[in-house]
Amino acid sequence: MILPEFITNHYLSILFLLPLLMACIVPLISEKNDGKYLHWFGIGGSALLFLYSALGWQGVVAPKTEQFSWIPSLGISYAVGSDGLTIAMVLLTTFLLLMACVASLTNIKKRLRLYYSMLFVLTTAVLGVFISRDFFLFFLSWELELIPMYLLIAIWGGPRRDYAAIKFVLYTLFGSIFLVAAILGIYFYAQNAGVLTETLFLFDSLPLMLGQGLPLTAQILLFSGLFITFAVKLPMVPFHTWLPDAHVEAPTPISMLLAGILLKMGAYGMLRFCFGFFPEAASVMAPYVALLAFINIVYTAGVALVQSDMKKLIAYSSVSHMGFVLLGLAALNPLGFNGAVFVMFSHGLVSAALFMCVGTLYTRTHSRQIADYGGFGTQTPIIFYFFLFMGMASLGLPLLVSFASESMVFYGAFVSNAFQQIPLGLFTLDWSMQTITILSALGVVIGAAYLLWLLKRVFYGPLQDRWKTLPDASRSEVFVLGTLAVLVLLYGFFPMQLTKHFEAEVSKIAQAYGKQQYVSVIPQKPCHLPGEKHTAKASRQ
Amino acid sequence: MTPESFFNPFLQFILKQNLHLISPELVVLAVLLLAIVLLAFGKNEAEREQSVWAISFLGTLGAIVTLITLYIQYYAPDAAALGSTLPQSYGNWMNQSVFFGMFEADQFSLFVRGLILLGTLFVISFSRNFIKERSEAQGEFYIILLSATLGSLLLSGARDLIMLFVALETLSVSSYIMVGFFRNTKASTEAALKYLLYGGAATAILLFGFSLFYGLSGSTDFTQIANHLRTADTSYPMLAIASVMVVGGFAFKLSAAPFHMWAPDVYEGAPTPVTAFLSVVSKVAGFAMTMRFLYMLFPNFEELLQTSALVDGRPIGFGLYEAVFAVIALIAILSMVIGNVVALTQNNIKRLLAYSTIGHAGYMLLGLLVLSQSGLSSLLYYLLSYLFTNLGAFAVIIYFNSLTGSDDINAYAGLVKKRPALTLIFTIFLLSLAGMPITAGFFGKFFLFQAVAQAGAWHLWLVVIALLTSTISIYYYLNVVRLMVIAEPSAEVEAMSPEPSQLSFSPVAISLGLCAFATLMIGVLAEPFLQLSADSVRDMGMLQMSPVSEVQQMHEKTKKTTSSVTLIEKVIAKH
Repeated sequence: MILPEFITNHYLSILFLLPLLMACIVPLISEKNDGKYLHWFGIGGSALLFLYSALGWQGVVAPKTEQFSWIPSLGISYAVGSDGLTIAMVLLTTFLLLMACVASLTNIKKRLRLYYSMLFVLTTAVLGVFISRDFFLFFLSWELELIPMYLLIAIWGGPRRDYAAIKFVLYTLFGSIFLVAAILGIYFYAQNAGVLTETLFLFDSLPLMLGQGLPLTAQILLFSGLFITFAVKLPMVPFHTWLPDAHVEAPTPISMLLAGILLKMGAYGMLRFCFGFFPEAASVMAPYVALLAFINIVYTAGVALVQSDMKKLIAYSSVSHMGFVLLGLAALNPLGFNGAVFVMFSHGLVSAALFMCVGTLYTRTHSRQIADYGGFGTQTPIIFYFFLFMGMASLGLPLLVSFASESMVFYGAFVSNAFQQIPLGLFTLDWSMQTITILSALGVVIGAAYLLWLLKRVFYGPLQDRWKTLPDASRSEVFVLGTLAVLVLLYGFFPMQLTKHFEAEVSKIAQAYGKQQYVSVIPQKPCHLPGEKHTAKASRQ
Repeated sequence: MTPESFFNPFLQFILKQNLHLISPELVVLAVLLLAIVLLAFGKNEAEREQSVWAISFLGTLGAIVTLITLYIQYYAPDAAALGSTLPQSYGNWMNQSVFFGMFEADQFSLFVRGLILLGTLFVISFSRNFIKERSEAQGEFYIILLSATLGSLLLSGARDLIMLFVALETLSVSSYIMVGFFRNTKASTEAALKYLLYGGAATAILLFGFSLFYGLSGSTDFTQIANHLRTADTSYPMLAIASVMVVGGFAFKLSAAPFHMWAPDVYEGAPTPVTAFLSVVSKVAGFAMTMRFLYMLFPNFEELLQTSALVDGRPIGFGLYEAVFAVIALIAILSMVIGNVVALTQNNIKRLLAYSTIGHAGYMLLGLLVLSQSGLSSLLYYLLSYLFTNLGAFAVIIYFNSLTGSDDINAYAGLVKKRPALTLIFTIFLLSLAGMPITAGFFGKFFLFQAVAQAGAWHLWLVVIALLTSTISIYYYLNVVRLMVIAEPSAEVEAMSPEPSQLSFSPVAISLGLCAFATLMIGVLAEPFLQLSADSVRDMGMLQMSPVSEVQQMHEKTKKTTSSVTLIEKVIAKH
């Protein structure tokens, strides 16, 4: 296929601005016929966007890095670029946007113009986060995403939507404080180091600057600041409480996007910045990240077990699974990093599908309380099959995508030699990465428990009389769930088809951590204590 | 006698006195006088009032044009190529000052004067229908507005205590009258009285501080005082008291906490265009005078190290520097916290913006803490973005008030159903005030905080406080957005007529559009504005004082001749 040169040269900028253009077109479309035109525009537009991004994914277009000086006096440039990691995230975004638009057919009934404008502005912001190659542009996109998401939850959400929406905004803004502080910190150090150039914030030049004699303490500070920002978004215990609220109140398509894409922004940021830019600090902090990952996985899985609200349960399971991303990152080896990205992708598919399943039930019964359900297996068999299938995928049934991704993380973490013990100030916890990995595997067990128990309570048992007239899944719902199911199965069978896209790039990030990854798992002498920067350096040499 | 030979003496006089450098002020003054004459001797009363509006609008526009001409002629970077720049030998600083060194017509003052005139132009355009509908004496309003503008303009370049005080009082007295302009309304009169009493007290404190400075240094000129400050170590406690008094007086003008008590009541009670004037134009002028005063009297630490005599390894005056800046930091923190926290509980949109203004004053004071080039230039950029955002927000309030007659926040509920465009525009302004991308407010805040954070480690903590408080602020800004977009329509909005099918081109609507456009564009196209503001403060750096030895000599002299009469004689003899 031959594309005009303009498109091949400005592929990424067009990708960035196309949803914004659509957001501007939406208000001009008539709201007649129950918003039929708007729905079809939304689906058509997102399909176009998906196909367009697929061009880059399939290698039809080799996305070129675009860069020009934006605010040179402060070292800010407009730079967009792409690599395997980015394009995988972009494809996930546009694909889930399409699914969310199809899901909107049955879920969103009012104020469609505003809805689709906000949805497309949100897409612009998320795409901006993934494709930006300048730290400032990244920050701008990161913040830009807040307001559309606020409105999407606060207008089309459930009864406590006001509270949930503002909580989402305040939590994320709280996290952003650390992001701004980190950016300002970089300015501060750049000024002291005398490298305040016109392209300071380019991803290509930042690590250079940071590599030049930035003391380990400063690196750890910057690492921690960025880590908190992204941990709020991920979300990680103890910054996770906004997520169940937001998920419960958000309408189904927005829950899908929230779980599928927005959480990935946090994970992406962690991999790209925390672990990509600060390898020395990351080596020091890895034990704590792993510990937090373990707490995240097991604690939220335990919380999910006791939920009486179906959507909240899925939300907690979503948080729990994001813990695997943290675990993979803490492994500090190519396998762990690749596994983390793979989990990001598989979680995007599976949790979006689970939220869709809950949503389809909710549109029928208008209840999310598990106690109101029971016996739906016979009444709505199609929903049952899909729910069961996605539940199995989520709990890691072999040959489904989560199994592939999570086993990759576990393997990466288990062979990792990132640390042997966790110094905790007063005492030292004698847990190596292997211990943490084994303990984290508990999360999978609890995951199986809460999902199977949920399925049992919802789909088995006696059916209440009031539900006996409920229809089964509609065509659009089957389309969304079916498409997701096919992908879950496909990438479960052929994980290589997915990992081959980002493997090279992710392994490149992992290269900074040297060769220590594939050595044996026999405990060696302890290393990487905070403050001992020689050890961190020495161990890599 | 040829016309040239007739005009030549005048031209000579103007050029010699540098009066051409204050031509915008002269234009405003001429328009002011013309308006008075017109109002007094015109024939038809209704027409008279109308023509006063037209004259003041056109006059302000004319002043802006004059200002731009002035910039292109003398200050622009390529003016040198035309051979018409100001003499660059800044050793002789009289070259760009007017009134024997009392008014500094540098590029900084040019930038600030541009902001003031732009703000006034917008205020005049909002006022037209608002004042016409509510007051009989609309002609007088514009005259007082113009005199307030004149005061602000002179304030932007004042580099002498007397000049500063006269300009400040011109601005203040005009403001008192404008606040109480609706003399039949209780709220307006009450606000005016409150403003007058608070303002009077603040002025007294300021003047006391000034008199101490004069008494200690024997001069009212900033440069002389600064030179004195760098050698005088004995009088330090008194200097600190004087400085703190002056800073307090300034903080009143900037409505910074704890000198902010007047602001909410006055903002609520005053006619809304006047509120817009107070929160934007008067504030810009206030920041300009504070910046110049602090920058000239307390140059930053590195400069102190280089130029001052050292005692025990510390430059003289460093303790003073520390004390003054600790006070400013405290004022900034208090303003940020009080402004943004108290705003959470407000029901009146004007009161809300009053508290938000207090919070913004806190952020801007952070910029003042860093008296570096980057700090000052990013503060100027912030003022620019703040000008359009805040004026736009007030334009929306005026427009909404003309539709419903209410300033209650809850009255805005469901506005999107009746006026989607207005809602969108107001949302842009509110988000800009909150500092969300991609508005000017986001960039302004980022640049300002970046400049502050560069100054040192403990500045970073101030920035963290600023970030925390701006996170709080998002709550109340978003609350208004939430009401407009999400809530069910209020009774006021229900009663509103449906959107007119054709666009209206009233002055308010046009200025709304312009402000919204500027708010979106200034941020995205920040570079030229940043360059301009950086150029503007670079000039100020040229006002460096003489080396230490000369300073000491001068100091000896002034000790001998502290009488003001001899000083004035000296100044006259010098020029």
